[in-house]
Amino acid sequence: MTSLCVFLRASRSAVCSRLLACGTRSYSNRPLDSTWWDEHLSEENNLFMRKIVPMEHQELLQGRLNPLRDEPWPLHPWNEGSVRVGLIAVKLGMLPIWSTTGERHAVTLLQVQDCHVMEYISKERGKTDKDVLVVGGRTVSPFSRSADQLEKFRRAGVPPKEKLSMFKVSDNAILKPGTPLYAAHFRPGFYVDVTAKTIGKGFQGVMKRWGFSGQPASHGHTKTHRRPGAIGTSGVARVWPGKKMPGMMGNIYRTARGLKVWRVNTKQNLLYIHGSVPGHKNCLVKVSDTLIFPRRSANSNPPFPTFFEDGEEELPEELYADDLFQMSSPSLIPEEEVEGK
Amino acid sequence: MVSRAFRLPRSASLQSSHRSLLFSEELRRQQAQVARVEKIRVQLNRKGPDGPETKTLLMNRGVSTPYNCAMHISEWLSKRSVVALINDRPYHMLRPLHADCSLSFLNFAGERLEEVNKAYWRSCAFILGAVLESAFKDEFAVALLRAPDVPVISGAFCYDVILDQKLDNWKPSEAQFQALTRRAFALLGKNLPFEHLSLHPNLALQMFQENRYKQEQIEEIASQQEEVTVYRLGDFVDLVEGPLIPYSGLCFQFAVTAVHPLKGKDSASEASSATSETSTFPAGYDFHRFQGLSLPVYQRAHHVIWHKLVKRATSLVLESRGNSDHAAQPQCSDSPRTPVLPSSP
Repeated sequence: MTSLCVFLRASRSAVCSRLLACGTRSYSNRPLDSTWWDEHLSEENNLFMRKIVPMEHQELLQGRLNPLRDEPWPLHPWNEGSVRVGLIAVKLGMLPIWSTTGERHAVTLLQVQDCHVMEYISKERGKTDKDVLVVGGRTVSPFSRSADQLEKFRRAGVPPKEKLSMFKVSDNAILKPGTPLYAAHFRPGFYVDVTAKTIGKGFQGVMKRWGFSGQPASHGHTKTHRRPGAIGTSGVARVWPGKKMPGMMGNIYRTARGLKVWRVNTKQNLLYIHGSVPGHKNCLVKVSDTLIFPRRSANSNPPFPTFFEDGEEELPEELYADDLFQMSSPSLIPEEEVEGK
Repeated sequence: MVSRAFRLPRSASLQSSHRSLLFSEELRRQQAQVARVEKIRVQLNRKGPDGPETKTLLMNRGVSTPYNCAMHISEWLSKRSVVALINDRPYHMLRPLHADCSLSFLNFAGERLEEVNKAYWRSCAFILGAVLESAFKDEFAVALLRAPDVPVISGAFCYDVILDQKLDNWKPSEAQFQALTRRAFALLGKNLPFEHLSLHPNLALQMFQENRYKQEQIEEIASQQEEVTVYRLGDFVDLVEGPLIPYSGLCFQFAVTAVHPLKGKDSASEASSATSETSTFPAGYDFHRFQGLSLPVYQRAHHVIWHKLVKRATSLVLESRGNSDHAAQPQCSDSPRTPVLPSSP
């Protein structure tokens, strides 16, 4: 992004969060007389809590499969211009794939873990021009969440989530809070945008942060090898706001756009996304249909408003893009012999 | 069989201030009796930094309390101690000492936790009684019955109250329980002392002249002992057997959780276990059992755990027949540090 954005973001809270993200365990907002959850618990009670909390979460998640289906919200068909909800997934790592034409590409593996729709904020309530769906991803321990936050999760009927994201959706794509979201929401051949916080690099100099070339190592340069050099001209007689200078690098949200979905595993909820995605391994990323206009036609006729596990559609475990080479198929297909040759 | 014929007493606030006035007069009279200050020797046994040690303190007869003795050692000891042991028997921290004795202190993380738990539960029930007496509007008659002796392990402390007939089918809402809890926090926030007083039964009967259930209890106590013990917290005076905690500020988390309407003696004996002991439910009164939950400042629970305990405290708690602390729960005999959660389902 431009240097102007960096300047605007250099508020105190942004700096604090960057500092905290760089590995310090200090919690500046924590009241002085607070305690950790098992400080006064006996061994027996500690083990009991560790056992019962995941059990209760499992019950909530299994509850989706009960025979009593409560009233779902009305479903509408997809049309050109509909905007669906997205997902929150976990970045697992990267692997190579080969296309049918023999080119090698790198893909990132994303897994959709415990993703549910948490809340529906209508345009009137949120005072915006589009309806918003809040989606939560990956279950987290309730001991790290406040009572008010836990109340929200309880109302949606899901275990507490680690990350909440908002998705602007069109009117025909709203979902009931508590609806689970699966990897089959995306199909091979679709294009997605993936947003996540980049890996934090801490306070970095101008060469790493902005790609300045620095100064030569020898030939008389005294004590100046990685410095920015001049920071202005004599004309303006000041430093421009947003001047590229050393500072905190990374740990900011970035979006990788127009990434192709090569393969989807419906059993393990895996997405194989082209190229790289911001963030470290095991971080939570926000995945949504791409906004890049030339790629939007590839996303036509998607599962709308989302893929429902108890619906009529029966999907095989693995779904492959057409031009993805599957290792189980033969690599050389002999041409048929032309008669008379 | 059900008798509900009590006359509409004066409003609760007038009653409590009348009792409090009598309490203050009697307290002043007893303090005035200590004409000449005599000294007593108090042997303080405690675990010091180098092991168990004994100190002899020279205190004033009839004036000094175990709390004063603790003040001579350190502020930490005086703030942390919950119940004193005088000659190995539980003793209220703010009650004056009258003779040479041996003294040790109990806190929430030491030995003899049963005594500490009992004192804490009794004090919380006392606070609940104080809240209930003043919480209702004047048009509804409220007569406090008693605080039943339930162990900490049962999950909630209780106070039995006889309410107006108009409130027979009253099911308090969430907001109403929160209103009661807020009243309790008003008392806790002031960090008031639990003042102790030993009375002659006649004076006690005069104090509780509006409440004939309390008078019956006073007569019962008087038949076994010479003096009747009352405690005061702020404006509220009540009969209690056994020591209480020194200050109301020791309670950190507090919630009034449930109310259960209970029947008098006949149905109570069906509900309780079949033993030949006399039922402790009063004969023929239909009462409401208010239940609450509390944790001390030194044993605070995370909100997740607190909500679990509160949910458990909504279910009805009945007194057990036998020894209260070792009631039919197969828990470990080492005193738990906190109210133990129910065993895994």
